[in-house]
Formats: sequence, C-alpha cells, structure tokens
Amino acid sequence: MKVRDLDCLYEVCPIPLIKAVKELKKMNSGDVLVVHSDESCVGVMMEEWAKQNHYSIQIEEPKDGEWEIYLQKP
Amino acid sequence: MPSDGLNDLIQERQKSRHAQRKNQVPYAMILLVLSCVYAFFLWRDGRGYTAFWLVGIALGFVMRNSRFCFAATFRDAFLFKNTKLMRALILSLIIGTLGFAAIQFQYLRNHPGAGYDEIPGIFDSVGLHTVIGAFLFGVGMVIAGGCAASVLMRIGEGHALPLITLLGFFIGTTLGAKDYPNWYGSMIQNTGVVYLPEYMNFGAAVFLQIAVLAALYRLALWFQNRKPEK
Amino acid sequence: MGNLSSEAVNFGKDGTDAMKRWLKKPWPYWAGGVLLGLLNILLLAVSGTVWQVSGGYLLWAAGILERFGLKPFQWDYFQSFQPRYAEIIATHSVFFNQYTILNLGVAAGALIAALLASQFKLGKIKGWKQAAFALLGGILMGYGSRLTGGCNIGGFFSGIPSLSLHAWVFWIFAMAGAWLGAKLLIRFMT
Repeated sequence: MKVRDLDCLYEVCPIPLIKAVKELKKMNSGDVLVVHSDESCVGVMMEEWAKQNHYSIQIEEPKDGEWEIYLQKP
Repeated sequence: MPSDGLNDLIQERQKSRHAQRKNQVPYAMILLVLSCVYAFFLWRDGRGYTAFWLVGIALGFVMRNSRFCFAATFRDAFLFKNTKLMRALILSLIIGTLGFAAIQFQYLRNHPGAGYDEIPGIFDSVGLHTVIGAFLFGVGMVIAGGCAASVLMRIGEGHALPLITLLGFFIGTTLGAKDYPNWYGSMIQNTGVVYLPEYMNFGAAVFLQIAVLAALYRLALWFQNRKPEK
Repeated sequence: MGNLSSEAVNFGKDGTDAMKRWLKKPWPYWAGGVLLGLLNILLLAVSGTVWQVSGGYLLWAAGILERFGLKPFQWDYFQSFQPRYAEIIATHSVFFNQYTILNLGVAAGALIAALLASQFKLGKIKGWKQAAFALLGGILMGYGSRLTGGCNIGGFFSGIPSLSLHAWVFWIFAMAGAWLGAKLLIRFMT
C-alpha cells in the first residue's frame, strides 16, 4: 500500500477533485491518496465521486476548516 | 470497505491532532445576537429591510450547511458525470414554481393587466443578448470557482480569493452597464419579456413548466446511472 | 460512510459532542434545495422581491465610482431599469438598500454557519494564476449579468419560478458556458 499526499490547500472547487482523479489514475489498486483541502464543499463532492467509482473514502478534520480526504483505490 | 491499512494510516496521522482545534461556537453565538440586534434596528428604521436581512441570513446559512453550489449544478455533469446537485436544484425550482405561481395567481386576480414591473417575480427580455450573457456568465462562474451568490458564501467562510472575484464582478458589471446602450441598439430593443401565462392558460403554464422540470429530473437521473463507456 | 471514526473515540462524553457532530455534518443537497426554494417563496411573499444578488453588486460598484467623482447613475442603463433602481438612487441609499442588505445577510449567514461548525478559517491566495482566473471569471460574470437581467440567482433561480422564458434560455446557455469553462479549467489550472 503506497500513500501519496496531494496538497490542495487554498485551491477552489472543482480543482481538488480534478487533480485527485488525475493522480489516482496513476496509482495502483490498494494505494491511498490523501487530499488536503480547506474547501468545505470538497468532502461532499469527493464522497459522491467515490461512491460512483467504488472507492473507499474517509474524511478527517485535523484543523478548523481544513480537511484530509483519504481515498483508497479499489 | 476500507482495508485495515487505511484505518491504521488514519489512526496514525490523527494521533496528535486534537490540540489544534478550537471551539468557534461562542463567536457564532455573539454574531447571532448581533444579527438579531441589527434586525431590531432595521425593523425600527421602518423601511422594510428586516425581511431581507433575516431571509438573507437564512439563505447563507442553508447554502453553507448543505454545500449548495450553483456553479456545480451547471458544471459537475460534464466534469464528473454527477447530477445529484442538479437534481436538488430542479427540486428547488419545482417548489419555487408552485410557490411563485400561487403568489402571482393571487396578484393577477386582484390586479388584472398588471405590468412586468408589478407582477411578483423577476422578468427580463429574451433574445440573443440572453444567449451571449448567459454563456459569458457560465464560463466566468466555472473558472472563478463560484457564482455571484457563492462568492458571498465563501467570503463568509473566510476565503480570500472570492474577494478578487467580487472585484472582477464590480468591474464587469460596471462595463456591462456602460455598454448597455450598444447592446440595446443592436439586439435588445426588438425583444421583449416572454411571460409564459400570456401564451396559455395560467394553470397550463405552471403544469407545463413542472412537467418539463420533472422530465429533466428523470433525464439527469438517467445520465448519472447509465453505464460508463469503458 | 463512517467518516467520523476519530470523533467516535471521544463520543459519548455528553450531549455537546453529539451536538458538535451534528453542526459539522453537511446537510444533503436535496434538503438545501428544498429550503432555498421555500426561502425564496417566503421572501417574495413577505417583501414582494425575489432573491437576487448582482443588482446589489451593481449598486455597490456604481456607488464606488460615484465616490471617485463619476456619474454612473446618469448612464442609460439606470434609465432603462427605472422601476428597479429609481427610488434607491433618489434616496441616496446606494450602499444601504434591500439588495445590499440581502447580500450582507447571505455572507453573515454563511459566517454564522461556519463558526457554528468551528470551520471558519482565513484563506489566502495561492498565486497570480489563480488570482487572474478569479478576476477574469468575475469580470465575465459581471458583464454577462448585465445582458441577462441578473446573475444565476436573479436571472435564473428566481427567473424560472417567475415563469419567464429568459431564465430557461439562461439555463441552456450557461450550461454551454460552464462546459467551456470546465475545459479551460482542466487545460490551464491543473
């Protein structure tokens, strides 16, 4: 299981998800992408996207108004 | 299902994090009280602004809590083949149509022959200028990352970038108002408002619009659920 | 689901934690849609005006120009839209009127919601490219909104329930614009 971080702090919707999709394409099954974002809508958007594409997803909020979204490739 | 590896990774990373969080609820309470005080002053002022202030707060609150983004309703079908937000918007439009129709029907019964400036609602001429304006707006909304309303919402959340978008909006809207006579002369002057109930029975117009919205809802659902081409 | 696992460790201390979790949890989109629709009806029923945003922006922008000694309110535009703006201009309430109050309310409501969720955070600008896109996007939106009688709120979200055809045209061509915008975004920003 490889882990990769994607810094999307201060990026506006929908760029974090576009970047994440691009990055995940290059990764293997079981790898985890951690997206860092401070955009409040990104979590819901990514949950929706993960459900559609059968990815595992978990969202953490390490700081006020900052999120880490864990996406695992199926 | 997330594998154990993913859970371990998250556990590992979150261990020392709780110290970095603050409780902002007290500030929210202070702001709520201040908002009520301001509402009281607006009420005493007697110009009828209280409703605008309170409904505005409710709109911002709902937009932020439901992460409702109008730009995304236009955009995410193309970008991510997701129409969930668009379907929520269509639902909203159906409810709005029913409510507005009831208000308009009541008004028109008491004021037959009322003009577009008096009928409750918002009307504008339709023509090539609508096409051009909407297209420019659509491009701008997506590259700026939010529409006119979500700019306000995001400023409320503390973001800095929407301030730049707002500045751009000021510049654009001023240029647009200044240029208006040119557009008026070349395309707007021969167009007019198309108010659907003037072309058919009021009830039929409402029914038709809701039928079209419901059909679009079904279409959006189909679009999301269809099998990927791969 | 189950994205709150780390919070679940502390959960059970007392009701405040449950409350905090509830305040942080995003509402479903459909609930937001239903409530926004109902609030728009409420505003129309109470005040006779629908929800709109860009009218307030125009008044702010013109008010600023006026401070710099220009005379924007003599432009033809404000003559063409007499009924909407005449009273505001005549009473010199360009910065303080129903449209600007409504806009300030939306920002204040979002701020209250963010604070209640303890998710308020001051942002910053990432770079000149991002700023340029934001500025350009704002200009396009502002210019477009003058041709269509309002932004996607006044011209579209309130326009469709008003049974006005222009809002349907707006919807179709704003979708087309959004498609191009999405292509530009992928091409230049990622």
